Amino acid sequence: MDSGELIQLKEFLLLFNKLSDRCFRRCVYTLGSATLTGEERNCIDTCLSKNVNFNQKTLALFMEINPPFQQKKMEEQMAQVEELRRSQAAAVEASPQPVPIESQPVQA
Amino acid sequence: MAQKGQVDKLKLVQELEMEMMSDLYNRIVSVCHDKCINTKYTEGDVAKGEAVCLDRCVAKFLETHDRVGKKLTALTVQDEEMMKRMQT
Repeated sequence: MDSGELIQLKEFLLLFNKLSDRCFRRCVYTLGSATLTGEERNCIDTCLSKNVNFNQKTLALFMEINPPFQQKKMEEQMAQVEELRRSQAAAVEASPQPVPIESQPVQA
Repeated sequence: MAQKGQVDKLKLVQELEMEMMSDLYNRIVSVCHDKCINTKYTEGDVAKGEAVCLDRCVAKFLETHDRVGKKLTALTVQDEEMMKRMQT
């Protein structure tokens, strides 16, 4: 097992805890007995399927919509770097050139 | 050498399990506090009704966790099988 698999396992377990938390909050609101009622059980099942399907849909949408944004951002950054380079080059050109030492008149 | 790697991995997985157990515990504390403890504090002790509620809350949460675990595993297995079928 490499670190990628470990991260995946961690993600899975975290999701597991999060869904238990969420569905318990949503579905269990009477604490008159120590076991789940049929209604609560049904609600938990629905809650779980809903969340899993929601995650899948969101992931699919993210994969579809994110790349163009990312690309645009990259292009903007490239343009910025290019702009900076150009302005620096212009500044160097405009500054007075230092006179080489050899060509300076020798003071007698 | 390979054995040492195995031991390291086992240690990592055990640490992860510990971390998740603590996460779960914190969630139970939070949910059951929200559901059982009166927002208006009249005394420092946990009232009898609150204690009974807490008892049921923890039991029900663990039952929920168990149920969610089983369903989630089933769904994940189903998902992986579908992915495999799509690839072949």
